[in-house]
Amino acid sequence: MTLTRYNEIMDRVKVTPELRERVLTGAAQAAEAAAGAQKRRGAWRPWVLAVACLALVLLGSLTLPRLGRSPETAAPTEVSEVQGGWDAVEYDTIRALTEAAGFPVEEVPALRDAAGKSYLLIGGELAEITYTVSGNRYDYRVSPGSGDNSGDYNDYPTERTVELEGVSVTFKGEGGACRLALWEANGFACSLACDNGVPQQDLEALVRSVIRP
Amino acid sequence: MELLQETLGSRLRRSLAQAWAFVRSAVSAPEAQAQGLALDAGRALDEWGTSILRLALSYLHSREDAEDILQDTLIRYLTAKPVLQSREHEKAWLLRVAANLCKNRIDYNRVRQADELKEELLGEEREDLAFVWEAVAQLPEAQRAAIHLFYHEGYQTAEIARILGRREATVRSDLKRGRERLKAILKEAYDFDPIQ
Repeated sequence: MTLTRYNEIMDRVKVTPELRERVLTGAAQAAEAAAGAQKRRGAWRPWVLAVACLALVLLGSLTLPRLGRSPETAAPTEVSEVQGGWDAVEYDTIRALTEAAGFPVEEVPALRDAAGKSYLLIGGELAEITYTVSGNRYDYRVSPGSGDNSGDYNDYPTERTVELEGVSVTFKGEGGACRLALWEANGFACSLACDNGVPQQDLEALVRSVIRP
Repeated sequence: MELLQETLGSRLRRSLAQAWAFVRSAVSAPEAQAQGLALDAGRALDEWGTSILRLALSYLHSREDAEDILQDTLIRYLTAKPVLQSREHEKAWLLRVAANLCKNRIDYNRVRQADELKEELLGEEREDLAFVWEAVAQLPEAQRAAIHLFYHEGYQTAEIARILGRREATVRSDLKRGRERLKAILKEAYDFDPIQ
């Protein structure tokens, strides 16, 4: 399972000790600089907390039999959130997906009754509904903003832009198979991708059903 | 009364000592956290730095740019402080960030033209390897990344799709097209196995 010469090339590429040192130093400095402003804003908080706790301890020590807090259970830490940009969370319903996304997500009306459906929120801001119909898979994506959110970086030889219901929609594909539709509406980027490709008029009908439900 | 005073006094002294230790730790906690993160970053770099560097090189074909991406990825790791469930999750997270950084760099035309690795291979009279490297460079970056993650890192198509934020069908298509284009460019037989 190897592309032998390619792997031989890559085997030459390693993180040397010098590179390691340089990267760690540079990364630490950059991270520290990024945290610097936040640190300046919040630098007083640990001290206020400490003084308040000290006052409580002094007050309590005069009346309570057991006092103080162990140094090992020190200042509360922030709850870290899973981040990473492309972590995907699956939901059971469109309603749950909409609530998690924080913006409206509607089904593709013509695909609503598909046998296979899944609802994903990717990176906390990209809503994806996947439909499986007659062996063909459709991925409908909605995200705030503009641009191509399909995640499809293929270079398609055929590209056409048409006006549907007053919205400019770009269709991409090859030969007679149209695989991708891209458009923007009401401040959101939208895309509808089709695995096996369909005639453009079929994909147009699906997009039209979304734009004008 | 004296016994009572003595008892209260020792308890108060213990309480004050504990309170003072608490105050010191509350103030020094951020610094302790930073030290912990630095150690973690070093460990992550030792475990996955080479994989990140190689993926970036497959995208950008410039060692200098790839090293920039490696550092930028580590900065993201330090600032995002992700909660990761396993080693595999950590590796996938880092590769995902690196791939996105590479794509941004390509989009904004901040890629250097010099391909130091190609020059190195030619300097060592390894024209066979330089030829392959040059052929891979001619592929679209999406195909290059898919081929690298499949053939060099050994990921399956579903995992590659998650790392690159793409559809699995698209990844399969990229692999198929990438192989076909490489074969056409190189006109040689490789020991390809079927895509799984």
